[in-house]
Amino acid sequence: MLHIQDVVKTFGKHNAVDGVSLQLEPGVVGLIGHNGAGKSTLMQMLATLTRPTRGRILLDGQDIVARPELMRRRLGYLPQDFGVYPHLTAFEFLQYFAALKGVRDRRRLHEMLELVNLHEQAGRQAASFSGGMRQRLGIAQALLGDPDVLIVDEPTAGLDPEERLRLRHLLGDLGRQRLVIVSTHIVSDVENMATRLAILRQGRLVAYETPDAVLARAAGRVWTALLAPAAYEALRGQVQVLHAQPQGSRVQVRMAHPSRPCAEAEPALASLEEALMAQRHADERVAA
Amino acid sequence: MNAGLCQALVLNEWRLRSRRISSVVILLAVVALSWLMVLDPQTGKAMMVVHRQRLAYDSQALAFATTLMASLLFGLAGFYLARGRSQQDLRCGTAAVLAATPVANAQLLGARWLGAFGFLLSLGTVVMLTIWVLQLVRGEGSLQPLPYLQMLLLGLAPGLMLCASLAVLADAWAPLMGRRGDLLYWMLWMLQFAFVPASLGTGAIELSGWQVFDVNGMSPLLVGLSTLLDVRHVSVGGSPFDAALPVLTMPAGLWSRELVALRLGSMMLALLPLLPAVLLFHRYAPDRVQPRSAAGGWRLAMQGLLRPLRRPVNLALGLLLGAAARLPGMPGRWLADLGLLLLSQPLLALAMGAGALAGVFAPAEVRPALLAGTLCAWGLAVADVSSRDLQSGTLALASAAPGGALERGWRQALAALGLGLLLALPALLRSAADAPLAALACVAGLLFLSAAATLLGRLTQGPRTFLALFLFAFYLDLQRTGVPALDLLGLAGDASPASVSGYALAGVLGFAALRAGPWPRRT
Repeated sequence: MLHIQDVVKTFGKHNAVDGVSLQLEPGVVGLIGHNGAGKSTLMQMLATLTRPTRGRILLDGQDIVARPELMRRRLGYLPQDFGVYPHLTAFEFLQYFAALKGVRDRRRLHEMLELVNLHEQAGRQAASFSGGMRQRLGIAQALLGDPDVLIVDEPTAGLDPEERLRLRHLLGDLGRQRLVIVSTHIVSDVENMATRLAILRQGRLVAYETPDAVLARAAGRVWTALLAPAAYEALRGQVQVLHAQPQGSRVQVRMAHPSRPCAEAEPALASLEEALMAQRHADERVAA
Repeated sequence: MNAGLCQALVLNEWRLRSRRISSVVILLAVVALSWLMVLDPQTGKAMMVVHRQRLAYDSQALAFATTLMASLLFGLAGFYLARGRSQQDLRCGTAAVLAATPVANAQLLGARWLGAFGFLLSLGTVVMLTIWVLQLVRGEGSLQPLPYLQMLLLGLAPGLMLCASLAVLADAWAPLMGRRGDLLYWMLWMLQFAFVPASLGTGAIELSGWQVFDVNGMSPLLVGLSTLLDVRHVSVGGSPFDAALPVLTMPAGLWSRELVALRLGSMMLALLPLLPAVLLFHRYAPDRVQPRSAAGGWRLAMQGLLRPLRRPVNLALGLLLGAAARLPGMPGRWLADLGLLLLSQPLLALAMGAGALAGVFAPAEVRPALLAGTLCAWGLAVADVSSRDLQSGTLALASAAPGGALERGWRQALAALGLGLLLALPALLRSAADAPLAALACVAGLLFLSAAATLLGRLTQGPRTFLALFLFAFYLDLQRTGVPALDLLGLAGDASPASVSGYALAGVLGFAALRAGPWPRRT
C-alpha cells in the first residue's frame, strides 16, 4: 500500500531522516523512537507537508512526492501540535475541513462528533476546549473523509486515562480496514493495537517487525530480583535497570541483561517497552 | 528593580521585536518613502519648496523632511510593530510562566516599554543613517550629525514614546488586545492630523501650548519651520519649483526654547498611557485574556446583543460551507476559505454585509462613504488571511488537506479578492457608468491588496505589517492628494490608467509569486 523507498530528509547538515525504507500494509503501524529520532519528520513527509531531500514514497505504486494530491485525497492527518481557529465552534471547524476534503454528507460530521464524544459540545467555541477535547476534535477532523491512510502523531498527548483507552480501541478498530500510522514515544500507546512496529533511532530505521517478534527476542534478557540496597547499588552500573521499587528494606528490581546478572535474578515476562529497552541495551553493548 | 533584571527584561523585549521580519519590511518601507521624497531637482520637483523656491538638500532640510516622513509612518506602523507581545506570550506558552514570576506588573510593563521604545528608536536611527548615505549621494552641503540627532531625539522620539506606551497599554488591557485595539489606534493616529490645519490656519502662525498634545510633532515642527523661514506655506514631500529662483538654505535655529519645551512636554504626555496599563494589566489571568472561556461582563453583554444578528449570518455561512463541500476541486475549497474568512471575523462580517447591502440601496451621495467603510472593514478582515493558520496552529492540518500548502497560499489570496469584489461590486456597478476609471482602480486595488495581505502574512507570520501598511495607504487614499499612485482603491478619484495598470500588474505578479511559492519546510 505505502512504500517508502530510501527516504532522506536533511535540515542543513543534519539528517533528520536517514535512508528509511518501509513497505506498509493495512493495519496499525507503531512508529517508535525517542524525541528527535525523526518520527515527526517522517510523518510530515508521508502527510505531504514537506518533501524528502531524497527517495520516493509510493501509494499503491504512485509517487506521492511528485503528485501529493493522490495522498491528500486519501489521508487523515493529526499532527502532534495543532490548534483550532478562534471564533469557530467545534461543528463549524469540522464543517470547514469537511468542505476542504469534499465531504458532502452533513451527517458524517455529527457521526464523527459522536464518535469522539463531543456531540454535546458541537456548538461551543473550539478554542475554549481543554487539551483533551481539542485532541478529540482533531481526531474527528482526521477521520472526516473516511481516509485509507490515517497518520496520527502522539495522539494520546493530553488525554485522560479513559480517553486514552478509548482512542487506542478506536485506532485498533480503524486499523482493520486501513493503514493507521501512530507515531509515539510512549510504547504502551501501541502495545496492544500495533500489528507492526517501526523503530527509529537517530533518523534511521533500526527494526520493522511485529510486537511478538520484539517480545520473543527479549526472552531471557529481562530479569527480576528482590535485592538488598547495597547489592542493588553494586549491580546498577552493570545492567540496564528497567524498574526499581523499594519494598520494605529491599528493592524490587526489573532489569535487562543478556545473561542472569546475579544469583537472585529470575527470568521475567517482558512488556513491549521493556523488550525494546532490552534490545537497545543489547545493541549498545555490541556497539561498545 | 535591580540592574541585572532590568537589563535582561529590556534586552529580551528588544530582541523579540527586532528579530521579526515585519520590522525589516516596515523599515524598508520608511527608508524607501524617505528616499523617494528626496527628488532629483532636475525633475522640476524638490523635497521642500517655499514660494516656488526650493530648499537646498543640506543636513538641516534632510533631517527635517525625514523626521516628518518617519513620524508619519512610524507613528502608525510603530504601534503595530511594538504591540502583540501578550498574544505572543499566550501563543508560545510563556504567559503563565511569566505571570508566576515575582516580577511586579510595573517592572514587567516598564521593561516592555523600554524594549519597545528602544527598538523603535533604533529603527528611527537606521532611517536617519540611510539619509546620511543619501546626503552623500545627492546632498548639497557637508554632513552635520547634530541636526539629525536633534531631529531624532526631539522630533521623532516623542511620537515613538507614545507608540510604545499605547502598544503596552493595548497589550496589557484585555479588551484592546485584538483587532479592536488596532482599529482604535488607527483612529487616534488619524485624529492627530487635525492639529496641522488648526496650527497653520488663517490666524497668526506661532507655537502654542496646546500643541503639546500633537505628540507626533507635525504641527509644532511645521510651525517652527514657518516661523524660522518667516513664511505661511511650506511644501514638504515633492512639489514643483522655479529653477530660475535662487536656492534657499534652511537656517539653523529651529529648536527654539518654546519648541524644545513643547517636545519635552509631549514626551511626558506620551508616558501617561503607562499608568492605566499598569492598573489594568491582566497579568495573563485566564479569565481575562481568553475570551473564549467563561466570558463575563461587557463581553457577555455584547455577545448577547449581537447573538440575534449573528445567528442568521452563521446559518448562511453554514450553508456556504455545505455548498463548498458539494463543489468539487479547487472552487469548492476556495468557497470554504471564503466562508472561513467570514466566520473568523464575525463582527467585521456583519459590518461588511451591512455596508455592501446599504451600497445597493443608498443614494449616490453617500455611496462613496459606504464603499470606503466597507473596504476598510474588508482590509481589517483580510489582514490575517494567510497568517491565521500559523497563529491558530492549524497550518499542518490545512496543508495536509487536498490542495496542500501551495494551493492554499494563492487560494487564500483568491478568497480575499473574492470577498472584496463581492462587497464592492454592488456599489461599483452602480457608479461604473459615471466613473469607470475609479471602479477599475477599486478592482485593481483589491487585486493588489489581496496578494499583498497573503504575501506579507506569509512572510512576517502575522497580520500587523499588512495592517499598518494598509491603514496608511487607506488614509492616503481618503485624502484628495491629486497623486494617482496614492489612489489605491479609487476612493479619491485621482487614479489614472497608469496607476490602475500598475496596481493590477503588481497584483498579478503577487498572485504569481504565491502560485510559485515553496513548500513550507516546517509546519
